Amino acid sequence: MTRRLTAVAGAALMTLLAVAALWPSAPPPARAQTAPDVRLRETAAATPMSVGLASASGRLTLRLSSARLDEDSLALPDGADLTLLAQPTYVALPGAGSNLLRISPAITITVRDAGGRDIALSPAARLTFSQPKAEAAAIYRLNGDAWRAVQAATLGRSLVVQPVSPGTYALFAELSRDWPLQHEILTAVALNAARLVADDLATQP
Amino acid sequence: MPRIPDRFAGAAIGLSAAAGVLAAYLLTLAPGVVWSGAGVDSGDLAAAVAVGGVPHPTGYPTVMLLGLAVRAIPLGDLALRLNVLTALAAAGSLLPLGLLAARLRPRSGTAMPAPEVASAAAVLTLYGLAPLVWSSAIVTEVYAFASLFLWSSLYAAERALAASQAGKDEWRWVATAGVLLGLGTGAHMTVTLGAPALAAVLLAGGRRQRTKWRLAAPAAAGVVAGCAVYIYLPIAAALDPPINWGVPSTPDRFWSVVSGEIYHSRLGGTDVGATAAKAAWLLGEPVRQLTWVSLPLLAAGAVSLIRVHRRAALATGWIAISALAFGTIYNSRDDEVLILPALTVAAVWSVVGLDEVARLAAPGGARVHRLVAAVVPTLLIASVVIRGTDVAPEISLRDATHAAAFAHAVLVQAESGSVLLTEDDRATFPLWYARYTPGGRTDVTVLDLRLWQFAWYRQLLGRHAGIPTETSPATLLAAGKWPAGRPLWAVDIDVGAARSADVLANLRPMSPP
Repeated sequence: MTRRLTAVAGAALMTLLAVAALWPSAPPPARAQTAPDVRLRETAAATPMSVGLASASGRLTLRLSSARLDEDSLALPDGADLTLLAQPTYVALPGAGSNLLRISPAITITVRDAGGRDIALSPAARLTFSQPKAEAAAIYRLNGDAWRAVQAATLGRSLVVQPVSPGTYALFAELSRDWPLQHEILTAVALNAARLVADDLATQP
Repeated sequence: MPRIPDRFAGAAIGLSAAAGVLAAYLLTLAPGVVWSGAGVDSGDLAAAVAVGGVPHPTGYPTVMLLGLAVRAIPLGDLALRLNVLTALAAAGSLLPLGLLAARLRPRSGTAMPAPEVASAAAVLTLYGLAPLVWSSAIVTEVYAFASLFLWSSLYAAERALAASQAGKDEWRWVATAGVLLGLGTGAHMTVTLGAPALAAVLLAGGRRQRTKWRLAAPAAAGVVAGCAVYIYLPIAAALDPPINWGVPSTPDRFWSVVSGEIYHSRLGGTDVGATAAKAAWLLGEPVRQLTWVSLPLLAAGAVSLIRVHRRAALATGWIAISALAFGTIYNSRDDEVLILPALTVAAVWSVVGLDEVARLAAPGGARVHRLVAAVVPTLLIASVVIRGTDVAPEISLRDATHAAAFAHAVLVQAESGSVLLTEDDRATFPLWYARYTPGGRTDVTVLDLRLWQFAWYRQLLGRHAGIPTETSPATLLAAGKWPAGRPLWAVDIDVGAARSADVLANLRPMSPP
């Protein structure tokens, strides 16, 4: 290799690395943890109710959050926002309809004060399911033993129920019959599924 | 100007850099298992060592075996001992880097001026203090071990090449290179990407076909011998420890674990634009991590290698590119750390580049030579000081006691016989460690809801915890079939942990609806 060619190669490498080093923004960190969140091959083989915490009643998941909600809401100054994150990790218990699948855990909202009395949620309280990438995703509410669709607004990639009342909610989606292959969609939805935002939650004790 | 004899130059570079970074590592060492940064897996690895088990895929048998040796030392907390071991491995990896880089410099064979040795040591220290390297060196992780074995292997390969060129018997170095590469794969599977690099050094060009084949046998035998550490996995699994990811006691389960099957879905999957942006970002990491002062040096080093040591250029180039490519297509919380080999290559090239710069300056006469000898080490040592003091507060894990405090608080609160439901690495791993180290709550079971989906995990819990596993705890609880005396608690961590220490251990009772 001639001296000139090596000099050009060195300069080119330096320029390339310098441009890359000046790259404006880091990619968002991936969310995957060491323990895998979903694994549909084994999930599909398991009995439906054996997958995860989300049972038909669903109350278990959110009772915990509601307990914290009580504590946090009492401590909130006026006008403060409170965001509660439930981190659901389970997917796809078969729901109603041939291809309609529940793709989040059921979320039960109960709000009580320290004395155990129910507190009415303020009109500002809302339940948001983020990033429902699956087509025809919708929020359902448990009415007796049956899931019923509820009105939800689409905000970007989120579905929002507002005002939200105490009850059990979940995200459903129409997925094709080979849903176990829709790995990325289900993962994305399940990982980002549920968020309850309550503004001025304790304004109506 | 004092000069260091050629045969001592590499050791002088590597050892002085290793001593410097080891001091920094020990000053910032994590006191135990942690949540922070690259260290969240420390609880899993330490718990697996504590019980002689199998940590998360790919099992890391080399690290486990070294960990078991450390476990036998009855001195202080096991997690702290493992952190010290990691720091030693990380600092120790600078020795083969120094040795290798000294041999690859364009004027190898001649004594090295002391300022150039100091500069080279400063470059390697800068590498050791790079945030990615530093953060994975002060808590139990596998990357330092992978680096130590990979670069020791390549140094051995370079020695084999030199022995061959000198007409000496080379097979011992070849076999050693193979063994070290095999051990490296037992530290992290990405070390397998070093195999083509090893082949490039040992087998590419310059030799007769017959000689190449003669070298292939000890190299392959060495790799097989090194990879024998993987026998640990089925043996450990068969002993049925409570930390036993994938239970790799059968051939298919073994393959599932060592191939990281549960993580395959993390390869690719994002759109082209995002992948390209990530690739561009990662390509810039070597310069950002090693600071801008390294940029001209690593370019000069690359050019020098292409000119003088083409095989080494090929081998190191392959390692850098394959690491950057893998880091680009793999999506996980800590995917950035996968490009560590590229940083290491940049450091080696930069050391080589120092000698290339000195070579280019030589025709300028004594004055230019003296100027370079004064300015370059001063600049590099200043960079080390600035980088070290700048990054240390952010990197330091000295005060990272939250994970252990969290686990302690949870276990203190838990009723007798509790089953703790977790669904976050930061909850599960510290709890595993606290539960399975001596003095832990043997009556308590930690149940990770994400792992519940795996049959092997349900069966493992059935054997060890005696809880029903035919369906989920929630379903059994709702149906009134959950055993009395095993109170279920959900362990919250995500919101509470981020806010303040007083809500670290938020246990939520799970009672029938």
